[in-house]
Amino acid sequence: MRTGNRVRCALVVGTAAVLATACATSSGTGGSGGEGLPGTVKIMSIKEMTGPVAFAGTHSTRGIDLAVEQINQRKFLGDTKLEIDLHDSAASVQEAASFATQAVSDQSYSAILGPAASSQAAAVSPIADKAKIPVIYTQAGSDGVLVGDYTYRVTAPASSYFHHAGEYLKSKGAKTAAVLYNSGNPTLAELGQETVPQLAKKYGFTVSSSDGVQLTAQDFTNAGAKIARAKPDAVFVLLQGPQNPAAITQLKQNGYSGEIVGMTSMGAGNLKPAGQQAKGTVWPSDFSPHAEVPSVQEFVKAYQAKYNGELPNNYAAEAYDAAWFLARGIKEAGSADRTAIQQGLATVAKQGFEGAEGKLRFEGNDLRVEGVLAGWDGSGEILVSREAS
Amino acid sequence: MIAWYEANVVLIQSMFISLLLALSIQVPFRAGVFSLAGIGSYGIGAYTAAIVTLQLGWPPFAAIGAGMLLAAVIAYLLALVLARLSGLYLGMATIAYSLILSVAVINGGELTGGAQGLFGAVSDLQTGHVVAVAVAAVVLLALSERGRPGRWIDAVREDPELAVSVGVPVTAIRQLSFVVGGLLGACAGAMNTLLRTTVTPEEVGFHLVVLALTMIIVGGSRSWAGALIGAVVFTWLPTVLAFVGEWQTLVYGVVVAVAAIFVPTGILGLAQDFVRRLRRPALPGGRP
Amino acid sequence: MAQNLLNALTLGSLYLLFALGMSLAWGTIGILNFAHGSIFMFAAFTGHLLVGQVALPLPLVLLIGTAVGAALSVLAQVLAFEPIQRRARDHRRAELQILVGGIGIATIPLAIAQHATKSVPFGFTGSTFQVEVYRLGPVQLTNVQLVILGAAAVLTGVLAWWLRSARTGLALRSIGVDAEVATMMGVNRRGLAVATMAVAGALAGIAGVLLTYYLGSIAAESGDGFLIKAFAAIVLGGIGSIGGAVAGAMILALAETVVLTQTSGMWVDAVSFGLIFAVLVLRPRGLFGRKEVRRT
Repeated sequence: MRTGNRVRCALVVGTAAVLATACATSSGTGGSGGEGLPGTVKIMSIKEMTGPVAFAGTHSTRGIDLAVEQINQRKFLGDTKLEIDLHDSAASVQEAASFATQAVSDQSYSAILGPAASSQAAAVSPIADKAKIPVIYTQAGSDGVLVGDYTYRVTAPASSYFHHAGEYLKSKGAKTAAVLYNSGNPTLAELGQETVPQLAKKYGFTVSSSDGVQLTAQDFTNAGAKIARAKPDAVFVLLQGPQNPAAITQLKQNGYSGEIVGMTSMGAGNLKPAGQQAKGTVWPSDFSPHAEVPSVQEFVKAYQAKYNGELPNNYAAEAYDAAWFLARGIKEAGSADRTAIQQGLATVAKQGFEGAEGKLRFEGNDLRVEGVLAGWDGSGEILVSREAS
Repeated sequence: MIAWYEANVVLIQSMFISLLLALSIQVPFRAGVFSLAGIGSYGIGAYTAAIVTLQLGWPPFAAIGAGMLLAAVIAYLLALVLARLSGLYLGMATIAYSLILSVAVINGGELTGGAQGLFGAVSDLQTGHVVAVAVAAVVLLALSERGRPGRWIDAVREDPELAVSVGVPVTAIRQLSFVVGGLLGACAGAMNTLLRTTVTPEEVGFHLVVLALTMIIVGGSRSWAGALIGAVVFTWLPTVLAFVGEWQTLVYGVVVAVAAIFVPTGILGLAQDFVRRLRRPALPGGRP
Repeated sequence: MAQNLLNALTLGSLYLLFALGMSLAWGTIGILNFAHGSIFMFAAFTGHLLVGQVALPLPLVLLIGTAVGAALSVLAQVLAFEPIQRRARDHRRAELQILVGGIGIATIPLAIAQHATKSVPFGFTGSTFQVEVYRLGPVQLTNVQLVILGAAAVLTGVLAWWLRSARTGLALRSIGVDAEVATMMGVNRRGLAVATMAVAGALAGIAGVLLTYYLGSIAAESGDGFLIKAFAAIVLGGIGSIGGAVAGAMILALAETVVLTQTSGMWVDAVSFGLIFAVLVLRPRGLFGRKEVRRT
């Protein structure tokens, strides 16, 4: 029996070095499922369940819950169950960092699903990397988040699929575009200052004006009036969720009638307050529940079945993929050991997989997706282009 | 014990950093100076430490020192500029000063990393160092609460006119309280940056003003011990409140409001009253 | 240019509606209410909840906002600020406690609204009111803007008249000058304080509802930003002065509009903070404020 076990270990993992840890874990925890895994693998999930970014935290948690339910029901890890321990980091960098150290020092945690806010993630990463525990983030777009082999991000940078916006504007014959962006948010500032100008060069339009607004700006009367007066063919509205409907309302009230292009922050129902006025707004997105990709539709159906028919948004999809990415990594490792999981994740990242966001591949530790062009029809989210696949 | 320490090391670190931050507000308060410039100093310390560590590769204590020096100089200038103000007016001017700094770091370009902030400021600063610095600060401040300096400071707060007339250097003490507050705030900010290896603009905002204020109002504003109580309470409160889940912020608000209404002297004052009441029956006569 | 001026005037009117009550309470009964922004947001939020159930017209939503604002403000006064003032040993101590108490109270409506909305913006999409745009030559004006400008002008006028001519208004001002003497003269300090806070809260509620109509939507966190702006306007004009609040709100709105339209807009907040700082350093009592006596 002992030799048999060992052979199975060797088959799964392959290298002698990992073999030792994998088998050691399995013998240590007793009651193991197959392939050297313990009965349960415990994961800490650090999410913003309250505070200003609660909408991201709560939806990602739904995505994670769905994925974990599937992983356990389908016996994806054999008899091993995935167990998520959820902690609310609220809006506090310190709390996020503190939860990370708790996960690091408590050997029963095998990995971390990280917070969405860049500032929190940037504080968690050095702790996790130093202690060699894998962390998988969603959102968290800042440069300081991916610091080493142990940090992964399952939200593709918007710049990597923003070409959808360029193609859309080209098809509409847009020659000029104004940019209105949030300068206080790292992701939005980068999109406004770098991505859009590059897009302009490639797709043959000129950036006629570029205005930054502050992180918490609410009043877009002046910005809206200024842009509407200049009458550009298109305007890029790159703002945080709550700012979007206000900015679009002001643009329209000032008589603007050109194209409005946004980013994923327009999704998740954020345009509802603007209603009909936001009709025709489009944004490149890493996820649309209407995309006709089998793996996407499978996710959407399962999500709707679990959550009373509610359509999933990008936060849920990204987190769902993050949880599945982790499960695949664990399966690949055949162990609950942190280093083994990291190597498993690296292998899975090299191969890529299909998930809620469609076809996923990794560049280093960062995700890349095909992306789609989503839009708002006045009352709900729609899919605008299908040439994405 | 060791396992508990390892799991909670971040909270332990931030408790001492919060203590220094609370002291940076409490020291001027004790001299009757309602200055919240310590928050701005925290930002100056945090960013200076990150910049000199990243760009010049300075060792941690040199980086902290640089932040403290810069903050002290700016605090002194601020003391000169704001000399005419007192009470809420001074409080508001110093809040405005702190918030201008937070706008400035977003617009600081390469130097401050803009909205992303700075990251990768790795140093070998240990928890032990932070504790040692905090203890040293507390000992020095505790000494300043005794003897002549202690009486002088109380006089400047309670009756500045009288203090001037008996030869207490009122202006110098007020300026000194600004500078000491600046040193403490910058020290807290710099150490926090080096421990976390990162600093972002959103960390240096109005919420820090609120945190520092609530710590010393709830703890007690007259002594270093009040700041310590406040730092302990507000570091561990979120952990204690974890069971209320999503209503944590609401309970937090209620705690702060109730403390402000019913415990005007802070927890420290409450404890002192309690001790006094225990002792009183032993005294002959007692209260009429 | 004319358009910018009009927009600045609208923004200034909103700042004014918000700041008036805050300034009045601070200047007379000595209460600087840091929960004012939270009350303002919650009035709009209540309107949003009701509009989600029944399609209400604008006047009714405004009325609801007014009532909610006044009720919350009175609640804060009776439960928190009055006990603090009654117990505090001295004036300075009371100021501080009121400040921190207000910060604590502000968290409560904020937490409720955040919980209910998950910080997703909310508006009055169910309201029967429709925004209409009028064009007058080079400028365009919406009916919301008209309501805002009208409300600010009328309410400010009424308040100014009341303070100057009505018996209760004079009594209130006397508290601001010397609370003890006023009480000896038979002024009902407690009742007047409650009335003042009710007026302040009502004005905040009106401002909250109008802002939501104007911008289309606000978020649970929107109150905080307004608090600091109002603060700048009050300090700029002089605490407790109606004329000062008008001047402060308009100057602030104009300055912000200039920065927004002439630069890339990233320094807007620095304008209000900078104004607070500069005014306090150069002219601590504001443009229209009473002179404060200080001996050291």
